[in-house]
Amino acid sequence: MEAVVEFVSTHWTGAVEILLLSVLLYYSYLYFRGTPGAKILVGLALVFISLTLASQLLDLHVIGWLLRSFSVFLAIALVVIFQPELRRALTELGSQHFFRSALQKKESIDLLVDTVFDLARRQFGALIALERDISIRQFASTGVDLDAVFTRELVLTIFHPKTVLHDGGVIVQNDRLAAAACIFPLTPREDLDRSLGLRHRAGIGITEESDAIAILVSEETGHVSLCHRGIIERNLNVDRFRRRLNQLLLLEKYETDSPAQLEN
Amino acid sequence: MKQILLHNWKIKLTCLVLASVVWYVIQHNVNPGGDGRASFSERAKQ
Repeated sequence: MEAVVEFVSTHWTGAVEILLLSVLLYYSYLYFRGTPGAKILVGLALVFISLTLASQLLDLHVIGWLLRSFSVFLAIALVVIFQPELRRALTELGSQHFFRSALQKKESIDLLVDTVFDLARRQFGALIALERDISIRQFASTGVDLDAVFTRELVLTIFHPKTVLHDGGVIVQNDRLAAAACIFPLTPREDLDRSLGLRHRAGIGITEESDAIAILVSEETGHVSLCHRGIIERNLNVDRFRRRLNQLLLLEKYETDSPAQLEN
Repeated sequence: MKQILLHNWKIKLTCLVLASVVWYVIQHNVNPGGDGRASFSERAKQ
């Protein structure tokens, strides 16, 4: 027992350091995943860690010296390569979006579900793109900038058929309505159901270009559909829609392409 | 709580292993007495 207490008292700082490092690595992974620089980062990290380990374990002096010499340049190069991502990360850290809890996300999902099915009841055609890791800011510039709080009333107003903004899609970034009346790219696929209109093709198109989720409400039928990674799931009822959004946004299962696998 | 801990568990485990490797490497550079082996700087002096 004394040996255990002694071991813990001498090594607890190491355990805390490892824990903090792993949390930092995990959140860095979540943040950089999907960005264009992610593959560069993974490649560099793999090369650097394997060379460092090899030089330590096998006593490779020259490799060790090279790593030491280049590590400073590498640090500067990383800052230059990831300048846009680092800037965005610091901005988000400042805006406290980074610390949003799962409960807050769940509340946002509930609001979104209520809004979408309100649109469906009124048969207002709608296209809502939820931005995730990959920025879809370039499409926001094709519409009208809003930067407004996401509320049911505002979304209903935007998609009312007699308003100026009802054509095109709405972009949601960090739970805020970033822009409305945006033009999304149409999918070039020819194997789709011919009954799908331009709105649905645009919804699929934006999810092929990015990792965004597109929510569609049909003007003709009031049916709700969900697109992600170029896959469309049509005619969802409220329970299934809520469950799929929870899976995609809370559990982040979107890496899997097959909706059947996502059900597990 | 369990769901939060378990989701992305493979990535979390990889991060833990990676953090341990990074910690080990840095520790043995900063603290040469760790396992009796000399650090980079010690070796450079030798």
